Amino acid sequence: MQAIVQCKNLTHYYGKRCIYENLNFEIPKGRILGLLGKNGTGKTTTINILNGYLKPRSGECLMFGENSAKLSPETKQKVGLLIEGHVQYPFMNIAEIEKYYSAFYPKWKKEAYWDLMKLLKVDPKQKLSQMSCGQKSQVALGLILAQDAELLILDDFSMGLDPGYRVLFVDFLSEYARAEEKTVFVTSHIIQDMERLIDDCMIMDYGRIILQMPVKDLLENFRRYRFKSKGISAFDHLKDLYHPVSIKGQTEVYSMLSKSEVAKLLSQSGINDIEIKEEKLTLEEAFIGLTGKY
Amino acid sequence: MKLIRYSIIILATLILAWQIPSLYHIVSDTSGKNVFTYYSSIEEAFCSIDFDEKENKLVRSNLNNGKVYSETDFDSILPLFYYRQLLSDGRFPDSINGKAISTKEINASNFFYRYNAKDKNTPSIPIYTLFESFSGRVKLEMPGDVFRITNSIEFINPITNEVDQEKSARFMRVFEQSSFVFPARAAYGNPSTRKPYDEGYFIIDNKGQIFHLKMVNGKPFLRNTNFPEGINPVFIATQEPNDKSFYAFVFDDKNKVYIITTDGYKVVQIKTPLFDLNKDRMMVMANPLYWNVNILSVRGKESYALKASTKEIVDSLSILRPVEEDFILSYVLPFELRFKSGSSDYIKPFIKFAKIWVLLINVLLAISYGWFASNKNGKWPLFNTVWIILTGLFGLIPSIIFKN
Amino acid sequence: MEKALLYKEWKKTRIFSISIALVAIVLSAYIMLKAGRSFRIAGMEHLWDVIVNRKQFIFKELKYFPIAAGLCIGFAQYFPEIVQKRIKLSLHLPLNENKVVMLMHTYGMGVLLCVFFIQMLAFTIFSSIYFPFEFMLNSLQTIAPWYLAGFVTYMFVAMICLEPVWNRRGINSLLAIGTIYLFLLSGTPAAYEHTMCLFLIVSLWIFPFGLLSIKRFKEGKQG
Repeated sequence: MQAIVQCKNLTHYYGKRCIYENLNFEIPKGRILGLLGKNGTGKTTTINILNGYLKPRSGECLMFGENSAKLSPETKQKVGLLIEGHVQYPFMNIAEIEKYYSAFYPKWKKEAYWDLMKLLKVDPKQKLSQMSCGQKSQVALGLILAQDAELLILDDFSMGLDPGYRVLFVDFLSEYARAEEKTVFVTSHIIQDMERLIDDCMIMDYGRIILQMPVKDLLENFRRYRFKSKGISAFDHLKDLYHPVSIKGQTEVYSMLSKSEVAKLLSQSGINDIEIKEEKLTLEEAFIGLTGKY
Repeated sequence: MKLIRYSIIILATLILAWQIPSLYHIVSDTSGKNVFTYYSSIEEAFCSIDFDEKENKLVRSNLNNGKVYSETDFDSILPLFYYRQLLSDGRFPDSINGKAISTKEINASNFFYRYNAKDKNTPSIPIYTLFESFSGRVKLEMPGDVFRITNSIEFINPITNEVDQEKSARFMRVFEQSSFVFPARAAYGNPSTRKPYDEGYFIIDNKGQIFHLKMVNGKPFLRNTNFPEGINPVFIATQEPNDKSFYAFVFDDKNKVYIITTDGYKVVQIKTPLFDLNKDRMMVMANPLYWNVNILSVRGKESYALKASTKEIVDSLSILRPVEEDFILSYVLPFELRFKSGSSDYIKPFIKFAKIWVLLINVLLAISYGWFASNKNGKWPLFNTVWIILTGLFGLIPSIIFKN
Repeated sequence: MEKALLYKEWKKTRIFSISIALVAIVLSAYIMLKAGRSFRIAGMEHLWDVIVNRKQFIFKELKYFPIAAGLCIGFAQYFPEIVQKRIKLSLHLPLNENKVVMLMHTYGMGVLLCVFFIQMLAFTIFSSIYFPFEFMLNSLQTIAPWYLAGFVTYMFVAMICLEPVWNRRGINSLLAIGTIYLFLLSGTPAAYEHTMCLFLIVSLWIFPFGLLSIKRFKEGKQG
């Protein structure tokens, strides 16, 4: 699959604090990729590097083959950007802001914007500064949809939105992206929203990417297994078993392996004749399983 | 981007080169001593009043033989300076050195003239007020118009801001009949009603000739002073001294000073100690017998006593300031940048360089900077090191601050 | 695209731009009325005498207006851009980033230029009615460095606002104060007569400084 964004050997430090070293990933064309990570794992750093608002200590990020720090105007035209907090110009009304941006994008699709605005039931003369956070998010979304960009980057789109607007936002975006075969890169701290939206997920932990795979595959294969054992020391070292926790003999582990494979692994570690309970997971549970509760 | 960074460093360097020495001066400057000196017609020697810092009192003495005087005795050896005091004490002598002198004579001949380089180096509006010199009234009155003189002479009425065509033509005719060459370079007068009489203006024409213009009974009076060729006047201070002995001081481009006398515009040189009319101050303190010509410069105070009648030098004096070398200004800061000066009202950059040895410090700073920077970035910062060699500490500070 | 960007700047700052213009008009009117009062009370001849021989400047109330105008339009333009890092929106537009900043500068300078030009024109006309052209020339030479100080202030405000690191903002402010002070050194009318060119060069020198702040912003400098 063709990659629209390639990040190669990204290394970044804030002062002496290492965020990550030699991080590599790609954003494949036509997919909706969600970046998941706990706070402080470098999500925002990655987004900033991707948008060209942070120069990594070393490594580079290529967007349509160009270094993201020095994108040509042509390439910037192909990238729609939703800044954290749905930032837009508060001094314009929704008609003015549409007119303003339309001057910059030759493929501007007015309808995409106004379709979304109709749902908001706001007066075209209403200033953004007098709108709710949810309404503003729709304006920001409408603008990048109308831009008809090939790649959409959305930084923490769910911030400050109540559930109704979150669902509206997700539904509108996913419908649009799938219909128009757009590539989307999103981050959000609310994983439930992501589950409805994204095709692929990329999960970051401190200093590294744990995995990048289709959500479907992840939810199909990644399981929680519960069984009884005395502590976890016998199998704590096994890398196929994620984050084993044992509380009063009740043990749980997460794994990509099937139940029989887990049983086999455990017996090799000297734990035999146990009853293993297998549980399917939501994306949020899978995320916790992969990154740990702490 | 590099160029912008360098531009910022250059600007910051200039601002520092201006502000650091100026702050240093604020904390370190002490006032220079100013000693009053006057040539005594009795002692025929320079006498002075100096402040004795140890004793914390004024010391009055004869600088020739070192004799110290009390305050009242000092009055009597400088009778032409302290004549009012002597008169009120009833101590004024009938004659000085065998010559009878009246207070009237002293009143007429005594004058002070101060020249500051700022008098010349100041922006001015070339509009002049020409008084009626022979109004018959004791008090001078504003004439109700002003004139400009460039390619012609024009009188303007301030109330209407219009040119008085008739008066302008009347005056212009006189200029045309003379050998005056337009455009005029400048006109020098004394446009004040608080003077005893009016002698109008001295105007330098395009050939460097000096003309005397005044208005008598409303009619133009214009005379070529026949100022000697070969002397190029650059500044004139028109005076109206009480004794009407001369019209003006003239300063030429070789820093020489002349007076134009009322005796048929005869030009007499006033000899001065070493004088730079663009930097120094001059003070003339005249009395019927002697003129004290003082030059105040960075060197200190230098004086000539001239015989009033012949303007010959009879004595000279120099009280030179010891050249103090300030360590910081000579060996640490490579130069001082100033925009204001005591000798000019114009804002323009003045640079004063320190001793050549400061370059050593500059090079040292540059090498240390280069060494640290290249250790960190692996590249020798060529621009910064060259700049620090040239500007020393001033360039170093912004180089460190604006490193990216 | 350029027009749209200028339109956005206008939308953002119009209250401030209009206010500056209004203050300019009110201040000019005040100065002229005050001059008119002197005409009546002191008389023209005396006033001319005071101006020429005592170097009084009758428009001296104008001195700090250009700086205030520069501060005002500068903050109106760039302060909203750094709240929520809104400048990212402009930098992401399909235009060269330096061009975006230069266009924003052009807008602000344009507003100042318009206001200053109108004001200067008003004073020139006023002067030419009541005074000979020598006065007018002298007035323009006196006012010119103040106006330059207004432009310089504006450019420094841009540089300081766009700069991402607080420490550097402080240092840039010191540099700004030092530089602006250069234009206000003298109370003598027309004191900059012979060095206008030099100070004009200094003003132009500062014009691109904001670009370095933008570069640092883009690199995500934090200290």
